[in-house]
This record gives sequence, C-alpha cells and structure tokens, in this order.
Amino acid sequence: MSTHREIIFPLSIEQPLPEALFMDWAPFGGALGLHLFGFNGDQVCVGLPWEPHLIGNPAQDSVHGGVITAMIDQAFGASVFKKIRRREAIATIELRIDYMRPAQPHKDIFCRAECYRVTRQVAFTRGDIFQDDPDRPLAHSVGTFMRNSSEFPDTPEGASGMPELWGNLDAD
Amino acid sequence: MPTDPHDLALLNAQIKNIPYCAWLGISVDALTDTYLQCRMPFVEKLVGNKRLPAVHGGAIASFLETSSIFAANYFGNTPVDRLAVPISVTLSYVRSAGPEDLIARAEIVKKGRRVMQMRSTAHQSDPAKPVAILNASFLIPALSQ
Repeated sequence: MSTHREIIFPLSIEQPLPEALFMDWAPFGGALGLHLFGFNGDQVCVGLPWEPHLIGNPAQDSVHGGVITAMIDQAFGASVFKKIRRREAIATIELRIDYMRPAQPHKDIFCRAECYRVTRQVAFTRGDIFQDDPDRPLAHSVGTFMRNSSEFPDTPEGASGMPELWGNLDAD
Repeated sequence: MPTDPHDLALLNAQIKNIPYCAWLGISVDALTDTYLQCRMPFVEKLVGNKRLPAVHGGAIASFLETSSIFAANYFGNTPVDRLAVPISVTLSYVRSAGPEDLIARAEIVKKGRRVMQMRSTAHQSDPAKPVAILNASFLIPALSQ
C-alpha cells in the first residue's frame, strides 16, 4: 500500500502511526483488516487491503457496503481522537452514507476522515472512501458522535499514557 | 405470505453464497407478511468496545444493510441473482449492543418503479428496545445495470 501513501499525504508531513491508539479496543476493525494509515492535520486515513471474505456481491466481486460503513465508523472515531488530542469513550449517534460507485475488486480501500467540529457533548465528522484516486470517491459520509459515552478508566492503556504519543504526532 | 420453509432455505442458501455475510454468520430467521428477520450470532470478533463490551457499529451496520438487501429482493420479487444496490443509507444508533445475538427486522417503506426504500431495526433480547435503525434507498436490481 506504500504507493498510495504519497497520493494521500505528501511524504514530508508523514506522521508516526501509533496504531494501537486507535485500533486496540476494536477487535472487529482488526478482523476486517483495518489499519491506521496516516494523519494530515485533522485528517485521518484508514486503509483496508482487499480480501475475499469482504465480498458482498459475488457477481462483481465488490466489497459489501457494510465493510465501507464499518471502515467509516472506525475512521470517524479515530478522527475524533485526533481532533480532541486524547482518547475517550465515544458512541456513534448517526451515520449517513452515499454510495457513488461500487468498489473495484482486488484493490485496497482507503477512508479519509476528519472531525470538523467538536463541542463538549458532540463530535461532527465527514469523510470519503476511495481506491486509486481520492478525487473519485466510492462513497461519501457524515457522522455524529456522543462524547464521554461511558467511563474511560485512567489506566496505562487509557488516557494517562497519551501525552507523549500526542507530542510526537503534533511535530507539525 | 406466511413463513415458508422452502423460501427460508432458499434465502439462507443465497446468503451463504455471499462471503461477507457468511463471515459475519448472518442467517434469515423468519419471514412474515411485513418483515424479513435476520440473525447475527454474537462472536468476539464483532466487538467494537472491549470494555463494555459492545458490538462494533460497523458490524451492526453491515448486519442491518444485509437484512434490508434481502428484504428488498424478497418483498420486491426481484431476481434472486441480482442484489439490490444501496444508494443512501442512514443509521441511527439508539443504545449499545451487548454480547448477545442481534436480530434485525427489515421491511419495505415504499417500492417505487426504480427505487425501493427500506427500514430495518436491530434488537437483542427485547424487540421493544432497538439498538439501531437503518433507513436506506436501493436501486431496484432489474434496472440498476
């Protein structure tokens, strides 16, 4: 997937990728094959290698719409953490997805997501799904998230371990 | 349209042929005059929040979308080999889904000439306590080429 990295983010602003920060609480993301691909300011990019078990339409070998939605949900969550510079318990309130074209088989899929507004209670996100070309998205989505939806313990895996990691991320 | 075991068997054979639906373990449970009911058994890989634990919103979305595709094909009497194509999907997450099986009931809201609008609601043990609701528009397969 390295060829795509330059398309999405110029190498000069490539950031360290503390994948665990975003993915370790979500076994479903790991089972799908999602991984955090990079940051650019408030934008977060999540990648997904094409795998046969993701097929939703055997006639065209295209991935299931639900795969796209799962990717969006995960990427939106990551974009909220990037925006607020910490991880806290969040819960999806609403997602809206438009599917503009089917995914092509055997090609990696990317989601570029951004949290563009955050209040004390709610985070607002938007993003696109694409394969080869970020300017030809397969799907577009907006979502809203409830902040502090449940207790988030102050453990090494929780918020207390975060500042050093964010220090690295905010080198720009 | 009472539950017909033959239809259920056909639908389940069809759903098993879709790799992602088979991977999620989705089956068609029941058919009534008004809704098609699907089930997704709880397994660890579906978890999105390990602490609660709660099923991942994306897994619930995948399940709801699958149920509405099958309901669109079934109630719309469209060709079995041509799946309904989603255009726009809206998901409302009502409460978190615990480590239990999920059940979805999918129904037609409106069948137009070219677009079919569907609603599917997911619950766990209590149908009166939905966990998520999907509203979606699909292109009717015969014309979606």
